[in-house]
Amino acid sequence: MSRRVPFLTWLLFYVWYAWGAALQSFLADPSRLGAWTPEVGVVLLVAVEGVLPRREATGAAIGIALLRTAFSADPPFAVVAGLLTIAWSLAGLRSLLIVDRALARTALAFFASFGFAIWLAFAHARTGGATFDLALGSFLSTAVATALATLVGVPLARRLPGLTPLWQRRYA
Amino acid sequence: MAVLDRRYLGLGLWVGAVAFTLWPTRLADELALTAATPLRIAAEVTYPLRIALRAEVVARADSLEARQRADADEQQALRQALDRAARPTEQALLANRRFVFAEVEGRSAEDPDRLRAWLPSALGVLEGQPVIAGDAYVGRVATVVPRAGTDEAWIDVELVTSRDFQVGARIEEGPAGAPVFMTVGGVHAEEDATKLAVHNPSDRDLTRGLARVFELVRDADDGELARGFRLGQVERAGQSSEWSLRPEVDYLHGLFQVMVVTSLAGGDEIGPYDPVTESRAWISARPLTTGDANPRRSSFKLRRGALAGITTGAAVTARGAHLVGRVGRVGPLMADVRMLDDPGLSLVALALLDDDPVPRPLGRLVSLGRDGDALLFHWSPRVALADEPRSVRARVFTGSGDPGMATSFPVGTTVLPVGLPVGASTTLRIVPDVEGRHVSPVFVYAGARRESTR
Repeated sequence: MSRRVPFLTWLLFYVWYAWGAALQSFLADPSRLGAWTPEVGVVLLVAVEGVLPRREATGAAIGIALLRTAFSADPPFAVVAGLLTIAWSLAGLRSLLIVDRALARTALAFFASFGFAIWLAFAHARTGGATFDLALGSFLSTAVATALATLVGVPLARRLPGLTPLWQRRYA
Repeated sequence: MAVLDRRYLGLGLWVGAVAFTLWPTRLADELALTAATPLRIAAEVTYPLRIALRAEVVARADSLEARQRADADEQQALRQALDRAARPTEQALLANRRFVFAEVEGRSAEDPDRLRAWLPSALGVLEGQPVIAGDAYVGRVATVVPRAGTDEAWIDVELVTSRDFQVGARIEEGPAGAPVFMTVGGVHAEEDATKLAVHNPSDRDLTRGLARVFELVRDADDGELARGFRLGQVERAGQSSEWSLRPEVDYLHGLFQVMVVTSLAGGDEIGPYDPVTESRAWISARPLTTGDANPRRSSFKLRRGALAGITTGAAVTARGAHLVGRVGRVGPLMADVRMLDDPGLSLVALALLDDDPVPRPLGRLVSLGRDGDALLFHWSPRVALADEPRSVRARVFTGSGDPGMATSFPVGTTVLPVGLPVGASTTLRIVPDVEGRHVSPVFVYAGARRESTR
């Protein structure tokens, strides 16, 4: 096992994610990208899943979920449950394929964001008075955007200042 | 062991999160928001991003400033029209009575057949007195709770739809040419709660007719004061079926301003309450975020929360009281604002038709999202607005009756199919006066209850 990730690195990771989530909420306006806005939390989760042990990836998923609630009216419990499910599913897939490869990350981000979007729509119907509308076109748009953002964004994310110790980890 | 414990901790968290998503509880939501209060810092660190929107915000604020006078005139005209609509029009109903204005605030949580209303002046108002809306009978004052040190009061009104409610009624001319007496109270059938129940008509051949309040016992609580107010048209499907009564008002979503009928000795009449000019009723706040991270939602966070007096459901408006949304979840230091195009958002509304000066209650509108510039709302009328089907341009305003809402906040403009039958449904396209995104500051309606000692 390699050394623990320094606290400052995690702090910077979450600050960068907060900026990503703010940008996401800015772009999600229907007059901008709308449904074609990528789910930044899923992009980052897929990025860290390839390099972090399961325990730390779980922590990252919870942290991302909590921060996301500061930028959305989605039910906090649904966001936590959704991102934890993604984190554990990705961890489970590690035994089947190498998840830290561009193509694998892109495909996983597609399916993860597609499922996450459906789950949030279902949760909104449970809590917000909306009818559950299986708007597949809208969910697919988000999934494609997230997959593309993962393809392009993960290599860029690994160059973000202050996060180097995070990417030097390799799960045991 | 520590790893095992953490694993169980994570699993427990996941199970709990799934459970609270599937079976949401208000307490769990509030606890989660309280625990997440420090996350406000996360939104604060992204402040520079909002600078990108500053030019748009300033331009919109200037345009709202310019139309403020016209907005105020429109709302004042609406308030006056509502006040006129709440008063009786028939001369016989005006005689020897005094009418006290009351703004409907909501319903009792325990009993939906009880309205809560606020009175700017409750002089002369007593329990048992009748409550009306226009020429229509609504119910009786059940309780009066004065506000200490003022003439103001809150009343609970027991509606005629209440299961235990009974009021005497008369149809002027029955099948035999003589008056028909009956008792009215409660809803006709749970599956069709738009009709009232009719009990024991004195003429069993009765099939139709306009029923008006008529208490045979002259010293009944509201007997003399209530006499003559309209209850609605009696209907009977067939000889073997029960009688029912189709009321002229929507008791569920159509009561915004009502009048308590008192004796002339009570004092002077007080004009309608205007929430827009009531400065104590508003809380100013600035948005914390630029939108919602979920493209299928439409919301933003406010910089203030429960500690500033913001409550769930409160109206959120731009300058000029233009409605932009309603408060969703509230934490101690921040709150969610669900904008008008957030699917599932609902509000009680009324419309002012271009060809009719009388405001028409629309009932409850439920947001379906947006289509381009238009907001989409599901609408199903509970009371017919017109006999002939036609479409007419209309201004849409909020109605009171939901917690945190008041009458007369403008929503937008629509083309209304006024002949839509009761129970049918359609999608209304409303072009909003103001795009809620990027309006800053916003104003949260705290209501007349603010500074209340109740």
